[in-house]
Amino acid sequence: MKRRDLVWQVGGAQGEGIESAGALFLQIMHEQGYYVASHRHFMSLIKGGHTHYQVRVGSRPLLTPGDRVDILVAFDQLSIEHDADKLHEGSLVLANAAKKPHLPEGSPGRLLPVDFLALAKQAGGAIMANTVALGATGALLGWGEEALDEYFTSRFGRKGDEVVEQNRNAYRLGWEAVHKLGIPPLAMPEKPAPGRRVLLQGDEAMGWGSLEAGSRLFFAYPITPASEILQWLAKWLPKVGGAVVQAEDEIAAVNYAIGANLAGQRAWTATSGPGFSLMQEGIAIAAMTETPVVIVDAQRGGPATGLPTRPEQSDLNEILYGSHGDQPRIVISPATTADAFWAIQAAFNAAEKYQCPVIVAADLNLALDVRNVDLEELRRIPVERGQLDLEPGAFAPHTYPRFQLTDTGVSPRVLPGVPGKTTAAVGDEHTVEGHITEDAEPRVAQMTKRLKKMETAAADPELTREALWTSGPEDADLVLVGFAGTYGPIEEARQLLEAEGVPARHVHLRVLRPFPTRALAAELEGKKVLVVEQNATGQLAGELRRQLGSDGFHSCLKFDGNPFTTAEVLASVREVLAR
Amino acid sequence: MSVTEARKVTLNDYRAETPTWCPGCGDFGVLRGLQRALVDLQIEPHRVLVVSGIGCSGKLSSYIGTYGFHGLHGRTLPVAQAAKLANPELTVIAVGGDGDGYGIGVGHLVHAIRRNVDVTYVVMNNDVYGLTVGQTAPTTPLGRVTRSSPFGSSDYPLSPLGMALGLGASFVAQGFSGHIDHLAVILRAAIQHRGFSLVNVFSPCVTFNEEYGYDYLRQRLVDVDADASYSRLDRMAALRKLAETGGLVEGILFEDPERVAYDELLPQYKREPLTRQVAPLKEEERQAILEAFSLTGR
Repeated sequence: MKRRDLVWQVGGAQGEGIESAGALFLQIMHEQGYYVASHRHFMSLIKGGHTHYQVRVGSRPLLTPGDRVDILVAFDQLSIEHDADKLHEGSLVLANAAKKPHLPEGSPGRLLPVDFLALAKQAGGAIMANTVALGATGALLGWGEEALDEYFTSRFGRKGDEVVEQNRNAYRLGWEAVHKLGIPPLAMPEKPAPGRRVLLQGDEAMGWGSLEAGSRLFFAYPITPASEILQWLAKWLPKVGGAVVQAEDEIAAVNYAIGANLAGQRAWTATSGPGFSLMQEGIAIAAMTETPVVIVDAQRGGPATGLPTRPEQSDLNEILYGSHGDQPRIVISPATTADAFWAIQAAFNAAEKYQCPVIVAADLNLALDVRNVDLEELRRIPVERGQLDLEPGAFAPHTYPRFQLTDTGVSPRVLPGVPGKTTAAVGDEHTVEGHITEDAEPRVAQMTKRLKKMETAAADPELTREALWTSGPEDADLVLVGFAGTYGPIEEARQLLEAEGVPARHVHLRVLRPFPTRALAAELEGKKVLVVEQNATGQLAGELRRQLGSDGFHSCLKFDGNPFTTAEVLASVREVLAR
Repeated sequence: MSVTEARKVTLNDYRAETPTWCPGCGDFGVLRGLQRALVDLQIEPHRVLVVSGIGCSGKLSSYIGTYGFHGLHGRTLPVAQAAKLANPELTVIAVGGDGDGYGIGVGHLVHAIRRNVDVTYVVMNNDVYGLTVGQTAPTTPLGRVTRSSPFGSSDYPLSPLGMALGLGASFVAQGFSGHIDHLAVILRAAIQHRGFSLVNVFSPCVTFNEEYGYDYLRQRLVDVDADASYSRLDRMAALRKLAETGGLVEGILFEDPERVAYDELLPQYKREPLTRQVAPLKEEERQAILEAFSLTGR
């Protein structure tokens, strides 16, 4: 039987090497030439609890890490029970024999107890239990007993020959233990045509994208799921002449980024909900002083500490409306890992073009899930710095019209260091020359000018043509709407519906400010609309109501701390269609 | 940006908008001291960025003819440090009041001291929240009656200089806006110091804290710069001097010329304006990144 994909999952307690076993399997499959997608489920603790790493291997680009598990490697009973609903008749469960494993009552699949620990000790140490598990997996997939020998050399070579040899042994012992059971190996998916593909996560894509955008300074305070940006840039920025500063808190981080932009460098910060709340006042000063700044909010489960390691999209209202006063802002939201590479570049261009805060609305799945993407999917766009005025002038101090009124609302921006144009940007309301004022006339003029930038941006083809990603027939009665990391499950559900002969359209929002009112209204008018989003109150649906002035949207909501499965989206679609 | 004419920089180049401070406000002296220090150093105003906070003192960036940024309450130091990293050719000066630096923004001060970015921080300390018309500040003495402490303040005051010295600051000084000449000398040294410098300036509020104004300070301040037996290289001596005088000291209290500035600790950081470097990756840089990822089809 030819299969299109295969889903493998390893589960256990945190600190048992589950992540490294998952990452290794993922990398091997990627390097073998398959398309891969993964999801790591983890908890906010260092050792104990439950973690699992799910890897889907396919012959075509994969939209999700998959709903069902074909091979489950369970280091403990909890890892079986946690995901028993992902098992099917053909599932094979490699379970830790030492923990007296059993399948829950009525659960499909076949249990194959393997004594990972004893075999690991036999190979040289308990630490190699996950290598034993890889060996057991290899036997189920028809790999040879020496299939990973090369990998162990490249991965552990610098730790010495003994470590390499022990791992080879561990793999072989796991392989033999399963091989002797005589189970016919599961067919591997057909290999796709070879291509240049890179294995990365959204955080890395944003980090890399920022370098392509010319940014050389990054300021952040560690927080899940944005820390990987900080870590990646800490490694790479120094190599390209830049620097990372780990800020004392998120208030500092956003103000650092603003200060660097003020001086003319493209700088940014990245955070999640709690840190984003601390940045709200900073968003206001950037908007008021017309200083560009880029802020990534990789959303996670809130409020407060909420579900700190779990996906959610419940910051949307804050992303769109947070901070005080009336202010312009641009919101860009990547739909996929590769899209995150584009989003950060688009964010920097928009920030300098419109001299205002740009928020990149991401989420945990998008930030952390590792997958491979075809290189051509990583889109580079030219650096556009907007209206910079760097010619020396002969203005008396603070008479340069930094905030001059223009048709577009955008005024040419001078940078500190340019002679004869000294000017002060102030957080108070100000005149054209940047002088503090409380007079009605300049107040109204400047506020109008700042907000005018949003009208200009709303007609900017760089933003409008990117605002929506659409798929499926235009005349379908049903439209599925989402933003950020739900792209995969929604699109996969749409494709399955199409295969069933149920036409549906998928509209994914990639620019939320300026809101693509006209384009979206044209898509949704007279349609049955299902808004799929990961929060409890339907924040995106609420936004559609507010912006489009229409109602009757159906909501598919999820806020249990786990990513949407395709099946859940499908179930919701069927419910709506049945009404 | 390097149009350098051999014209002498004068005080006039540093004048901007007309201050709206109360007549007699100590902040006039700070403004004048800063302008004089910059003129003495012959730094052209367009090469200077003054970042200010909120309160009466925060308006200083509007009154000095340099580039300016009047930011959020308490957040001057992050803005100033980042601007310096982005363009190391700028002279960056952060200014603010005691509420800004020792109240709402004290966390940033602690880390700015730790980081030692080459920024000068001038705190205009009047022991009171002036612009919000007279509430207690972090430096308000115990028992002082203010609008927010009608029965006398129950909070012990913070010692900014003691704190800075304890945190390992590389330059700690105190001035008085009633002694502008001396203040200008102190500020000049602070600007020239390679690293973070804290200058706390007694800048009396003539409206809400008159009692502890010019006369009170003139009578009590002990000038360490005039004391030949005092060594500013000795951190412990500085702390002792603070204890002896109850903090009523004037001059450069401590300087550590050995301490390395932050940018020198950054690996491979280019000490030239990053503003001129906004460009995509070079092909070899892009390839290096690509190679470091797991890449198929090489």
